[in-house]
Amino acid sequence: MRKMLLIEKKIYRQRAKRNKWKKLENQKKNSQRKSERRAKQKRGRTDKPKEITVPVVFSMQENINEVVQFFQSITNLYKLNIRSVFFDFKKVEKISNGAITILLSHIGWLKDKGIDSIGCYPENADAKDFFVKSGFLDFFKTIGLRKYEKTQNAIIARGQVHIDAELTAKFVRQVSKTVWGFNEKNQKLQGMLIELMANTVNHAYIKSKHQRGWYFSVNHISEESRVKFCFVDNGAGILNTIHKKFGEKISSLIGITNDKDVLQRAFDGEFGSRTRLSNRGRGLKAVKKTFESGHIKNLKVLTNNILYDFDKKESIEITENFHGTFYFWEIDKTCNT
Amino acid sequence: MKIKIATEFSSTPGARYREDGPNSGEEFFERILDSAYKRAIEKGELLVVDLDGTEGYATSFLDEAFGRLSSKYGAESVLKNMTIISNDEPDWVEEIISYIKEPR
Repeated sequence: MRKMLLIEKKIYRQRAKRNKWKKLENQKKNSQRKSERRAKQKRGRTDKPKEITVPVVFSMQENINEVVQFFQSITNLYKLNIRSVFFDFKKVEKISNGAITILLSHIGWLKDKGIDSIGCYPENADAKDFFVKSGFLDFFKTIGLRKYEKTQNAIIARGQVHIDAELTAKFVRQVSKTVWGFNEKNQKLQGMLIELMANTVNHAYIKSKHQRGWYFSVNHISEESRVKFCFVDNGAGILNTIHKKFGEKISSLIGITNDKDVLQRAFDGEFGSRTRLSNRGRGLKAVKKTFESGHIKNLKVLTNNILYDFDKKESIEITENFHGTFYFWEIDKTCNT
Repeated sequence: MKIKIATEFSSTPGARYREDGPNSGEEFFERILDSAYKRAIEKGELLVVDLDGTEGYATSFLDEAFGRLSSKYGAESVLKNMTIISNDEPDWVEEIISYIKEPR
């Protein structure tokens, strides 16, 4: 009996040794395959940049469907084996801050995928002027551009900063100066900005499928005492995040299944209070409250395929899916401080 | 006993977690609020938290700091032993009370 046990033990040890060896061999083979695959991909990459024509009216407000379609085409680029993209702005006649902020976020995403972006200036003088003064070019090396007058307009992105309340406060005070003429804090705006940035950092991404980051832009229109804001993230989008998180439970939680309603309820904070996951929902509720208290105006949110206009309390379904969430709002003298 | 966030912590409070960036609600709770609350209880005093004088607050900051306080000591105890001053933005008092009553 004792002899049997000793033989069994020996067999067990031999098997374990063989399994360990097999495992190591497999690991070796897999890493070889991986590096071969990578080398093959690199060899197959084309050097010629993929040319993409930017819509003539490059504005989220005036040409949303075409512009979102354009962004969708950028999202599909990573499937092609390319090294760079050329954005052709030549024929562009109108540019909005929102559209270029979203473009910047997509360019960041392409960069993460190892694809470089290059481009040319619009021929239209007004469009070029807006383009140059927007802060967009601060993210690129420019050629053949004379030194331009520095404005208060700016685009900041996560990567430059994480959530830097000090920097945000500086932007907020500049806004007060343009709108009301004095360098004063605006606590509601400050809170909302931090909320948006934090919301993006914590909830907007489903695993590593999406680029982690946000882009925030301010556009000062001094002659009208008005400032336009855009905030964009390339995450999963509010609706996709809710669907992913709650799935079939949505209708039992809030009794609705329509995406338009789901989005409105998300801004009412329903997904925080009803699910007892308080940190999921209070941020969006705070954004809505800032609008309702009259501290900001003309608030619009585009996420996935829904554009929600807070002024009109109206949702529009757009034809293409927008990957992420885009906020637009304004502050002028009619807003509360 | 009184703590003024703008002078004793930061005039630019951040978001919820330390990993979100500087001056988070988590940092405020761990570094200031928790120990101040404990000291106030030991002394049998009311803790007064003054929110005024900062550049503004994100709800996530307030939720993390005061929600955690409530989770640790219980809503009833916190509401009895602490009071909030917010003359700049009076809405925040009600907001914080709701986080205390319904902590995460």
